[in-house]
Amino acid sequence: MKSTITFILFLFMISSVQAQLPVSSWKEKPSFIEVDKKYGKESALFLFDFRRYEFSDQANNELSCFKTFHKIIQLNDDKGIETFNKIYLPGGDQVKMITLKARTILPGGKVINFDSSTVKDITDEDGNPQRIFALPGLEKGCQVEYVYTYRKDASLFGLEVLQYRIPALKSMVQVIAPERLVFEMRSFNGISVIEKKQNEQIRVINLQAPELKAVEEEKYSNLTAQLYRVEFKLSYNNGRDSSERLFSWNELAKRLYTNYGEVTDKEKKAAQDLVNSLKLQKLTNAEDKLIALENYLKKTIMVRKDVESDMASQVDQILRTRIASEFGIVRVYGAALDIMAIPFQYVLTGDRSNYTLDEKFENWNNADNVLLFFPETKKYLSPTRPDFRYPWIAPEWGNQLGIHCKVVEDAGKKTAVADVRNIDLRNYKETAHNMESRVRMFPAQDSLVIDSKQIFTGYTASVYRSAFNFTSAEDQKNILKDMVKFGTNSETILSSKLENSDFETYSTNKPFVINASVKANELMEKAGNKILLKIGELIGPQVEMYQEKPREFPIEITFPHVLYRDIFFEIPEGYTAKNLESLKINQTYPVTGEPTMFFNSNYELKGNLLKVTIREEYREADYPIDQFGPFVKVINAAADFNKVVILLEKK
Amino acid sequence: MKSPYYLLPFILIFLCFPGRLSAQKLDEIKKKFPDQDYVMLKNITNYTITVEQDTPRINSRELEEWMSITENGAMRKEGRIYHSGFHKLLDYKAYTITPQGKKIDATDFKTKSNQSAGIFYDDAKTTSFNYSTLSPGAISHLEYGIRHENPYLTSPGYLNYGAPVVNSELKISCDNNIKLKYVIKGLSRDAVNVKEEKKKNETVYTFSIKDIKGEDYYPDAPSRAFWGTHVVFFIEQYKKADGSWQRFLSSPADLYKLYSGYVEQINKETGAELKAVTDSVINGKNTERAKAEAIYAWVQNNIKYVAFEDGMEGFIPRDANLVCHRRFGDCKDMASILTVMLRYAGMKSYYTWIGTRKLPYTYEETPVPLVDNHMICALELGGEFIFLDGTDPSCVFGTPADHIQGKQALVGIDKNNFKIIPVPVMPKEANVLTDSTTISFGDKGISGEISIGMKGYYATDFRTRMNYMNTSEQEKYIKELARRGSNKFSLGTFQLQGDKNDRNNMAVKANYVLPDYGKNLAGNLFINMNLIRLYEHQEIDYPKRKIPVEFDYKFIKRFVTILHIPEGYVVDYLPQGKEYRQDGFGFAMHYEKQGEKVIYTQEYFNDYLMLSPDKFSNWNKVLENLFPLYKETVSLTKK
Repeated sequence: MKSTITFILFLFMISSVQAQLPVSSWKEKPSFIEVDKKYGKESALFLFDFRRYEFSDQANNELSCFKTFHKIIQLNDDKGIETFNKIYLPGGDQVKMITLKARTILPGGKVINFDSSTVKDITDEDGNPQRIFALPGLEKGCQVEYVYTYRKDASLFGLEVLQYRIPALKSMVQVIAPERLVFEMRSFNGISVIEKKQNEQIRVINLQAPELKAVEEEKYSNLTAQLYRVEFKLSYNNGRDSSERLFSWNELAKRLYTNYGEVTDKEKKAAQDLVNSLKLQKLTNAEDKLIALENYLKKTIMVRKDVESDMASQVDQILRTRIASEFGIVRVYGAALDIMAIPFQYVLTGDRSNYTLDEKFENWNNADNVLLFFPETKKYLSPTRPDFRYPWIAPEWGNQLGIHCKVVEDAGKKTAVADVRNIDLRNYKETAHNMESRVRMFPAQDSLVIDSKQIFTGYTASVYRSAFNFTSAEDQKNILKDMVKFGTNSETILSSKLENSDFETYSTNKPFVINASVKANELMEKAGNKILLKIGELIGPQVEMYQEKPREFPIEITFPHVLYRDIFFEIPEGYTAKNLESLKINQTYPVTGEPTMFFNSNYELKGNLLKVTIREEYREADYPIDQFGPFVKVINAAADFNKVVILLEKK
Repeated sequence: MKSPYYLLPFILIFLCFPGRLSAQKLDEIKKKFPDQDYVMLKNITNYTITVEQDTPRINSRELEEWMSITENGAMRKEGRIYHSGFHKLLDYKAYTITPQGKKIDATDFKTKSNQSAGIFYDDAKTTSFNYSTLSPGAISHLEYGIRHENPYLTSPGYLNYGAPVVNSELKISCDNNIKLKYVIKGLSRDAVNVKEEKKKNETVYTFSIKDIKGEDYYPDAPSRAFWGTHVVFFIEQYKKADGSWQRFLSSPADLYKLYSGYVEQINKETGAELKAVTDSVINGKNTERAKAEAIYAWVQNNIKYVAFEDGMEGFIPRDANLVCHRRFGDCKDMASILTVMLRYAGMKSYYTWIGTRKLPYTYEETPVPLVDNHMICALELGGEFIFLDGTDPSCVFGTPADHIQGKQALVGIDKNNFKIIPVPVMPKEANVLTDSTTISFGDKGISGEISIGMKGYYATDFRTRMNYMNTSEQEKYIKELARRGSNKFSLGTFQLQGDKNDRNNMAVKANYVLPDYGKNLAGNLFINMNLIRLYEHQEIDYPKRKIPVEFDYKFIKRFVTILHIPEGYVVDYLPQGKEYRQDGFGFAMHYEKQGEKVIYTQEYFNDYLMLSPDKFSNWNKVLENLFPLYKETVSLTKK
């Protein structure tokens, strides 16, 4: 959203021009802060983290924002020093640095001020300008303190993450604005104290966070999404109309509909030419049309977040240059779909791996990703992602609220309103990573041959299709080798064949299949004339959660899915297989009723043919934290199966 | 240090892209280079070297053209130009030539900083852009001019790339006032066609190569300078206006003259803070060695690595007083403070330039700044040189940092004198990992103790890692280090055992349980005692691979596994051991029954820092002999 919509704001200026406020927490003569010994094991900790957004009217009738950050950090060891001796601040022409002070305070109270000549301007990997400097005189046990204020054009939404991998003892966020502008503030993932004050000139919101403990990454959880954060937005402008809620989802839907959907005649013609040249109108149903359109656009047009030229947002130019911004490519789809009269809705959504949308707290900045929704089929298309095809979207963009721009007529003119509802992921049955392995053993030659089939459908198929479509022939060989090694532990491929590796087959969810015939002697071990077959390794290495720390966050898997594995093993002539019972493992949750997750393995012996059947399913994307125990059991059941060995003895 | 950025204009091309001239041409290319998404049609660099106002001037023009072969190739539209303060970008032009022959300009030009890994700040820049209207058969064309502001810093010209190159050419035109020298390096150097044309006012050197396939990439390979085909060229002498010849980079002495100029203006005085620090560090130390050790340790512990490389800042060390006050610096700054502190303590110490093992060059063959990328301090103690690398926080005094082993050190004795001294390579016996595991059978699997003894670089590497980890990261790391058998491995308590005064040794002791390992099947106990399989899947892709394999250091690794035979059981089957050696590497595996124990020893050794392709077949032979041993399982049966 940030990039596609410019804010046109009538903020109704009043004449008084404000300067930024001083930072009272910065003391001219600092003293070393005593820290409780219980934090001694932390590499570093935030003793104080203060962030202030001060909106104020400027002489040129513009609203400016002065941002102030004041931090005090205790550094306990080399890692702490390495982490905080280099400071990165925003830079560039848009940022006017007003104050920058930094110092090191040694345990004895000695203060070393930083040398401003070490400040340098760079751009980060994404091209964003930054100012950087290094702090002087750091030693173990010292405290570093810095404060800076800079002016930037006002954005009327804010998000501050206050929680880290180290503890933060005292954190505060403050928003100050002219009296007429009413901001709202909310914290996520923690309880905060919010205090509001106002006088004739200004309104102030103070938020005090609780003490924030250090957090760590957990398996099956998105850390960023779980961190304590504060968001704020402008909701009312009393200078204009105190009853009209600003920046509502409805307003966003309306703007989107205009920005994406209104095209010039030239653009319309280009879209029409495209539809004609692809002969889309000859296809009978709407779904076939949009699939063909998507395949063409995704194969030929490069979509990038960072292209800014006007050309990259114009339908005709995009089709000519084959370069599009994300905003631009959505307009291309919009124009072509309109020409074919296929009903659809623009949809904005967040990302489960960081921030998602809230129905009541409309932070437009979190609505970063665009989808198209087709009401007739109730399916989505992801215009900006070449690695997915209708109806498959990046799963981290689903299973959360989306702003669906529902087209309505207002005074005879088409516009849109926000339909805020969940973007459902596709049913668990449609996403699979299945395997079939046929194993033949030749004891005399000490050799084992596996004919294996790995079958991918649904969300999983995207990653593997990408690997075989977007990389060089040489890389593909290596990827294939790695994939075949999964479940065979061998790099000796005798032959291999891929089926449906193209993206065109994705829309109908045709399975992407890797067939390989592999010499996998590694799965056989010998003890004299007895043979051990590491049959469990045929399902490949499995995620294990054997040694977990107490769980902090609920369980989130990227998408619901199934894993079915069938193993066929011909027991060689003259041998018998022992301990087949160890092939039976069952972990199901809940134990009664319809299961939401399970691992179940079983076998059947007919003559000398052993058939092992494994069924593993995760039917939901989310499991509450109180189901962590059963979840671990199911995960580990698969990892346990991976260790199963059967013994073959001569008859 | 100055290191990486003057190479950058030449590294570029991996990410720039292609396009089509005619269907015929496309078919031809497809046939020549099957399975490619794009190829480089032209990689042409023209240098002009002249003398103006008694100073050599170097300019270059670069031309590159790529052809997209597939839709996939046509999707990669970004082109890049690398430049910096020393290599100023003068002009550039980029466009697409469509299969119909139409020229379409590239769009979205932007320039941003290009920070090198590990460098906090340098002035390197990337100008990137997008080729418009690319489709299979289209050609993307880029040309640009660079003014090389510092004639000492010529970049090597690489002739091959990650993609195939149809026509690669480096042309150097030197006016008659220049004497040029060149050296061709890399795996395909013999395929380079060299032409030297003497013309009236200039000599033109042309190095070219045609239809060369793309370079392969291997994560365990040494840096590209060891195998990529490139030409290192430099000015030996130039003629001044008065007709005399001026030596420029004709020998290491010329290079040293340049370097000694870099350190001439620094460290004129030792300030009060630095004196006080040094006095307190050497207080109570009676021998020069003890003093030197203490000073080195202080710098290792207190000066943090932060590198600012802005223009000449990349070459001139900062004053030791400033480094002491700030408590941070880059390698040059650490060399500066070490040299000053040691001198203040009364010892002979010297600024020293060195190329790390990332660089294949020698001072004699190519006496140019390209040879080195690092600075250290050399200490003369008892008639011997000790090399002190301030950037390695765990390095043992007297042992070189592992990344400079075997390299030439250029030791600056005084303004006019220097010595080139080889840095020793630590023998394999100095770097020993001894890892032992005891195994006891239980109901659900096995358990026991693990002891990992580390000596030499194993110990120092480990200490460095531990230094930069918090408690929970340390725990994770040690779990990985101790993991064996399967991912069901579970680490119990562990301790680090190390003596602060003996950095050369370190140990980890831990206990573990490993459920489901070792099987009770049909009344017998089976256990594969290869809990660690060091070389599993380590075959070299021979004969395809032509690029060497690099090792951090020479080593011996010993894994001792001690199985306690459970009561009531006897050994039913004990596998045979085996030894197999080739020149420089091999293994010895040995099973032994001692009373109620089975002791299995695996020993591996490697006497190479770099394994050249002529050794690959021997390496694989060792592995072929080894792998059957990994499958051998001990079986125990009831008495």
